[in-house]
Amino acid sequence: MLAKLKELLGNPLSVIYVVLAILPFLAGHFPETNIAVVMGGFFGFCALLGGFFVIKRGETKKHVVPLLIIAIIALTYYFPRQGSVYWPIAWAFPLVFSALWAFDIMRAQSAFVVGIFFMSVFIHVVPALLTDMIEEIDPYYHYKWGNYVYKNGVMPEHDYRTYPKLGGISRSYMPFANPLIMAMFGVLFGNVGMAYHQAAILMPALMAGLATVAAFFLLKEVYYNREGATKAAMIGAFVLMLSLAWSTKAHATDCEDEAFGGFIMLATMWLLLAAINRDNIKGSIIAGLIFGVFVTAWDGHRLMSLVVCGAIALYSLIGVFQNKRSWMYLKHYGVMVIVGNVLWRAVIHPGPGFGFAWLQPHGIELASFVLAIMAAAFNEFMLRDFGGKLSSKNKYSILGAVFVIVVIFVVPNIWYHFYKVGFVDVGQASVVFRTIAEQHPFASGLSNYVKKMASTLGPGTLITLLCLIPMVYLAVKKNDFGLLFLLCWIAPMLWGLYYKSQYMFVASIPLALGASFAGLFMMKSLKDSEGFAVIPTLVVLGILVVYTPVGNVVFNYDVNMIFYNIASYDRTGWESTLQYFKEKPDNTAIVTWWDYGHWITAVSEKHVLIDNLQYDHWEIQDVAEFFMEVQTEEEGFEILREYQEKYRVEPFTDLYDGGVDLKYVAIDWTMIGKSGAMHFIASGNLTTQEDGDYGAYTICSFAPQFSQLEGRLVSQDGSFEQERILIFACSGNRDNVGGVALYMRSDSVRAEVVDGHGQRVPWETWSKSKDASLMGVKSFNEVIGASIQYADSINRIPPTYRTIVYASGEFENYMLARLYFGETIDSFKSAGLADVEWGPEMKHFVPDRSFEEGYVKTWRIVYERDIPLPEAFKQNIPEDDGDGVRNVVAVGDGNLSVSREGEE
Amino acid sequence: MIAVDIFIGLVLMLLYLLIPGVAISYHFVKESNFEGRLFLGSIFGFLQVYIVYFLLKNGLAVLSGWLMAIIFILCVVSILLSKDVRGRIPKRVRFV
Repeated sequence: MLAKLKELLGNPLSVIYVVLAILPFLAGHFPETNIAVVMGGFFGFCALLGGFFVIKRGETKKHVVPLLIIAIIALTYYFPRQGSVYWPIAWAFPLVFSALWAFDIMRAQSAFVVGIFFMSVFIHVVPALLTDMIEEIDPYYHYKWGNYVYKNGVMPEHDYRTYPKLGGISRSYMPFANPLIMAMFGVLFGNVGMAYHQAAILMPALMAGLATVAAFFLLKEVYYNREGATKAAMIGAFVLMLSLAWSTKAHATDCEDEAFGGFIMLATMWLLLAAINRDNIKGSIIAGLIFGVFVTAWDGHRLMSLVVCGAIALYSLIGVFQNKRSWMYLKHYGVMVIVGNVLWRAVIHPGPGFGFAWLQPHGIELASFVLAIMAAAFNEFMLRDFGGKLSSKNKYSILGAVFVIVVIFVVPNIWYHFYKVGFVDVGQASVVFRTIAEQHPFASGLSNYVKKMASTLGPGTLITLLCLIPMVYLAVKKNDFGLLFLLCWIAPMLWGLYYKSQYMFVASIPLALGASFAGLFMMKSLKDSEGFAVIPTLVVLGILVVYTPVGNVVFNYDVNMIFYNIASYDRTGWESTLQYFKEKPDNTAIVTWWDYGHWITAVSEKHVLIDNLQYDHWEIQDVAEFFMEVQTEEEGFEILREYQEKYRVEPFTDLYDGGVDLKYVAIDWTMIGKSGAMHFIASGNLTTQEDGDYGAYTICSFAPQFSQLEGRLVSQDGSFEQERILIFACSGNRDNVGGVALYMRSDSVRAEVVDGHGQRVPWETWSKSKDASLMGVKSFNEVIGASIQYADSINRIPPTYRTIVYASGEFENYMLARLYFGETIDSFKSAGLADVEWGPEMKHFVPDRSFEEGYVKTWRIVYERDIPLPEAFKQNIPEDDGDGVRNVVAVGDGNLSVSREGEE
Repeated sequence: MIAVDIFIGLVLMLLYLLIPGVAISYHFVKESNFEGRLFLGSIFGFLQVYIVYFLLKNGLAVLSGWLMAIIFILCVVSILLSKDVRGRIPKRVRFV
């Protein structure tokens, strides 16, 4: 060891590698002036110098790899983009380990696995360097339950904080391993002064690193005993690591179950294929242990059953013609599934207390398993005649019966669960689901599909597409189980993703791993360059170069976006509101749209009517009706009072004395844009699932590029006056309003509507014909003032200051408008831009707080003294002492309270 | 988060998974190589989920804490006692 160290110290290459591996970590302290040229030039020079030493000293050709990495770092510095600063550090890890391989200190596989693990963890942990906030929406569901486990030391059994009409929803059978592990790590972090929040932020980055390694080992098993398997597996793992779609979920600050689920799925698949390839039952039992963990963590096990059973079925059918038995594959899968299913049922069951979940597996799992059994039986029948155990008469009867069962029951069952409820959902009729963006198709056509795949899943997926036909050919010709497995994974995801963009993350895994197939046929050495092997080599290298900074510049594939999967303004704009609600009593409930349900229950730890699970469509419709259907305050209040009544009975009275107080309404700026979805649901028919109406508020944003801010002189009554023209460009709408032009003079304002054909119509004429008004979150004067003052940097001011809202017909009177625009409506009326009968004063809704310049506003709900007590509540309150009837009243600041009639 | 906290957090999580996981892989999967053993160890580390899930589901949070600590210590000892590790430690620094 010491001798090796001395040898390395005398080698200039080792000095170059060590210096260049350390340098990116120190680059943050260097002056920024000319850093791109200085560092880029230095790394480029070192790459050349290293090449010189390799030739001069007759070193091994393995040094090409670390020198190539140095060249990539040089390019990264030379083509700086936002986020480029992280790549030199990321590449420093494979630089070190490839150098150790080049010096024969590590084996190639060891160096690759350790190097890519560290690189993958680093690039996916960068979001944690940029923010301490958990990202977006759905991760908060897991954050909520992890926090619950961390604080209470028990697994969740029931969610009382949502869907009050159902009395909350049962969570006993939910797979909560992901929140549990976050809580476990949280306890661990407590030893070093950190806590659960940090564990929730970091865990997905670790999973991203482990998943990359799992992908490598899995692909080695897929190509078991094939020449070039290791090289192919390296390509697959690399493409997965740099997939933008994969990184949307697998990165620090996204504590949803998908990163952990993706890893545990890859690990389970690896163990199963390893057991199959070695025909090792012990291996499949171990796979079963991990499969059980998988089921307690993520629903992806349904997909896995489809993939493995599909591969077994195909192998069985093709095997009949090639005299290959499939029993062995079914045996290992069966052992894994049985072991896993027994174990997870002992863990997940209605608690607290010992028990066992008597649950039927999901339809697609059952149907897939039955298909695999039938196919393997058919294979066994055709090849071995079941060892001659059946008489020739019975044979054909049984064969016919099997055929009928498969055709009538199994295949339609798989199709039903795959198409209708299990995976694609494209045929699912649901008014609510039709409003969700991720339920929409991923692409609009075939060419658009390929283009979007390359730009979001990564250009490596193009290699997968190119490989599909040769993969099918080889899989069928050789009846190769590994390739059939890969195809059965790629095909449904390729089809499913097209119809449902929600599958972007799940599809990114097989579509990235498929690229590995090309690695099998890449040339082994320069000697092969005269043969066909040069073609896949060039194709793979050409596409992989897109992942480098060169790709950023030439192909516009922005791989740097991996670093910027962080909380957007949608989330950060709510932080102050969530902290405000957090200070309120635990039994406080808030009415808002479902998008903020997880945030309020997870961060503020308060009750909401609906959340992002979209569990009860009827309650979602109630809230939609409150905001976007009823046109009077009383009607809106009646909807909420019905919920308040629900909150005054069990199970809520068991949780808190007097139940839950439905006390606040919260509206944020994005709800203006979401008004279309709310109106669609409110006016839809949930019984027949008939579509509602997609009408929405129209947002008109200040467009300085079309405005005349300098002012022009216009004659008026014999004198001249200066006039500015402010243009507000409107989003698409059914009234065909293209924009609004405001002519501003010192003492007057005149408005014109610019319609879709460019015709200008005076506002008075337009508003009368369309029954239209203009409104705003900020007052008219504030919008105009801010727009003029910040015209040069308009996108840097809050959206509430640079937008006005166009509403016509019934949209003028919905509760969303009455509440959100109520405080400022008088200013628009004064300017002659609004003509509505309502004003800022409301009986049941008192303006409470405004956050982030009106981005979020809250109202207190006031329950009047004369509201009669609901019968259900009367039955559940404690016995009165006989001198009065209890009523729900507003006290002090409008808080709900229970008092006796006549009592002050 | 600051870089030091991130580093400490990642190392802690890895150790938490690797120690029990590698202990299992040492004793039950003999044929694995270095990187395979490490990776296998990290997967086996998740088997702790069964124990903790089961205990928390049954309201035994305190027991789960003690049990996990004992299991963790046993795993460290078992790794140090394994022939593979003993063979790599020079005799003069070997203490078990």
